[in-house]
Amino acid sequence: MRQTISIDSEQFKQTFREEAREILVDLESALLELSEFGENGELVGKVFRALHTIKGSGAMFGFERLAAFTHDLETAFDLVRAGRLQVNAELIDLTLAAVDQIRGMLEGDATAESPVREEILDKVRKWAGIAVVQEPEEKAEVAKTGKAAEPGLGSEPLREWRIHFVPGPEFLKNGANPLLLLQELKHLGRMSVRACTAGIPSLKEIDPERCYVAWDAVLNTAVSRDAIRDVFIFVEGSCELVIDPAVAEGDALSEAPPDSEKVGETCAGLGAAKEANTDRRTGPADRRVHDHGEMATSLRVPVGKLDQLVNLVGELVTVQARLSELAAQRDDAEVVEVSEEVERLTAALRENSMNIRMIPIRGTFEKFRRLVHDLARDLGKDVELTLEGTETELDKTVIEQLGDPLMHLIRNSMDHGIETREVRASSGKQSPARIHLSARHAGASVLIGISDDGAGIDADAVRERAVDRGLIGRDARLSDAEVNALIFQPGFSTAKQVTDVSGRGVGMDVVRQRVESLRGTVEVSSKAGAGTSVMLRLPLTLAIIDGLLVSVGDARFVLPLANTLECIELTREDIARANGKQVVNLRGKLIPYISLRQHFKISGEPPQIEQIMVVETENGRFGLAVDQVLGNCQSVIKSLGRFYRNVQAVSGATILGNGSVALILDSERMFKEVERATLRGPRGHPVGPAKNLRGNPIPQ
Amino acid sequence: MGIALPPTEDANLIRLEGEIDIDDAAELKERLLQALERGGELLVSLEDAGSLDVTAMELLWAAARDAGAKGMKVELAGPVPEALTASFCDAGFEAIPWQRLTGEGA
Repeated sequence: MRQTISIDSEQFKQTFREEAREILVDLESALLELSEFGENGELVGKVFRALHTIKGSGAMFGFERLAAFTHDLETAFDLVRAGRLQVNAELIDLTLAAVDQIRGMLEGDATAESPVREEILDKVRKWAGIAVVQEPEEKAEVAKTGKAAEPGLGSEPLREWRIHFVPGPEFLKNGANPLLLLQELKHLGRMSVRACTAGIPSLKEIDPERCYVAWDAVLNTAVSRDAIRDVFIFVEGSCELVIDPAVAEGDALSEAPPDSEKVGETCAGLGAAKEANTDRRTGPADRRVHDHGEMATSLRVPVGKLDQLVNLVGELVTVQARLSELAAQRDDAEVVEVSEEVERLTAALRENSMNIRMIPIRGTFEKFRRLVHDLARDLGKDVELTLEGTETELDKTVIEQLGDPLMHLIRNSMDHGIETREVRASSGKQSPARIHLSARHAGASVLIGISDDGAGIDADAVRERAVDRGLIGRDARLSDAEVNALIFQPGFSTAKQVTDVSGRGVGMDVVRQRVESLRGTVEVSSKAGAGTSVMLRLPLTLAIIDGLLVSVGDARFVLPLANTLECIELTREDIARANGKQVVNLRGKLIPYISLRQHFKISGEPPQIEQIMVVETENGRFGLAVDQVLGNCQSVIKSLGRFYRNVQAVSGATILGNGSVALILDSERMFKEVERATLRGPRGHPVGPAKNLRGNPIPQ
Repeated sequence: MGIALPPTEDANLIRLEGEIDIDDAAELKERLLQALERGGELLVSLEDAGSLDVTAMELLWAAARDAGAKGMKVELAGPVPEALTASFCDAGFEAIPWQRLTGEGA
């Protein structure tokens, strides 16, 4: 049992670390917004609450030194919140530096002393006029309760509040301590409190690790309802909380001064009412809405469990495909019905499981505010980062692996793209310079854009460098896109000198590799003097997709359903009419198509009537000619391994119901591959005037 | 922390030592249950207890109530540290369970 408890305790600490990391992202973001937009009550409140939460929950989970370190910062922002001080660049920089220290304390030894932290605190205290020396007892109390006396409490008019606090069943098991919260409340003013013990069962029935007690308190204080609620900020999701002004109409305590008896009566009444409920947190609906404002709507689940769930769903999808196959062979109506029902449920389960893994990209984007802020300072440039589509959701794994490529791109943009203040001023460009990060869904993909209004890519320098490195011949004819794509070659850099920020030619190569490992693509467009735009196209998920199963001869292929538009027939007459070109008439409009039989060199004669799968790509619609369309299929994506990594047209494989393997096609890449092949001769040299698949000349 | 249970001839004595928290809750419940099953006089010593968390308070409260209902004699053995009394008070309990129950003649 001891061992279990110590593991649990470590789990609580780990949970705190995870939550604190998220809070720090929000805190950093709010600080940078404050820095950008100046004094703003909402942002100051956000910063204060973040610091308060880190301090309070830190103390609760045994990070006393971290809590004590955060205390003076919280006090400083409380003074700002009260209008006694005005936030300025110095406080923001100090708090940002403190955020770094808190991160370090979370990751490393939170108990070690640090002169850097002391220096930061000294400056904060000096800035805020906070007494430098605290009595040891006071300091210990701050660490223990996470709260010091509120500044200026006595000068504000007092108000009476009734607080009803019911910890949830898991409250104690989650490491929370109601007694510390009550102590913290007590520091806000004059308080009487009564424990409601009616809910405590007999000793035999009691779950020793559950909190059965509820509390009623009357608090006379000058602080606002929000400040009282702040005490419970890190347990809001796991308790029921009522904070009402005691002077409200019809309030039983409104006519009488608070005393413990009166509080006790209310408490006993509530306790009795609670006894009738098996779940003590299930109160009347109106009360709950009134109490909470915001109910606990989320649950923290270890990533490993989610991965396990998705793996199991993947196995289920494969088994379900086998079941469907067997049902079709048996030709038994009842078995087919059951199989279809299992298929429907599996699809719903799969969609739900995948949705659980989807998280907004906001957290990743917000982290870059700090990067841009610090780099701008270091490089002496004025840069504003703007964000768009921050609520766009992506698979957690994709988001995790996106951080490094985006960081490289932003660093590159800051170092090479954005000009210095002087250069921008002399060329009449606006200041600050702008880097724009955007995200949006496009079919089964997510487009992540990073654009800047800097100097753009120097195409001549890139071409020259590529020739020097032997990447292209001196007389090579490359489109602008192809020239730009050269910057993703390993070791490629046009920087005249290597800086701390970039210039080693490592970053962009890493970007391309990482994005391609996620089955994504990266494209650059640039205009000299106007800026550069990089677009990453990434799949929404890496695990399971909806697909259409098609056949060519004995081979089976899966086309992602999300970008497949429709299916049309291709007769021998259609082929003859096209005069040797692979185009088909789609409601009066000619679209090009690729024959999978030819592309993959599959032997045998095609059927009299082939099927054209019309797919949507970023360059328009085109078709894929197949023998037959076999139907919908849910496909668990299996990696093909290193041997196939250069096969652009295939993004993976899946196991079919009969145990055979089908290749999953990446129509976007297949189209580009064929287009490139059309533009080049057998040795890769351009032949004739460059034209795309539609026969239109490509501008050089 | 520690929960000591030195049995005597005619009394159960449970001595709480140091900081008693959720880690000790299951053991404390077990000791209290055993003591209630034995019947007779139950003594609880808080003299050396540094602090009690809410789980310990709940268990003592439940044990005191159950003991009272069985007509058992329950006593606090020795003085209660002031900090502990203050802690019960801060937690909104009227008194330490034994004091209240014995005081009321339960």
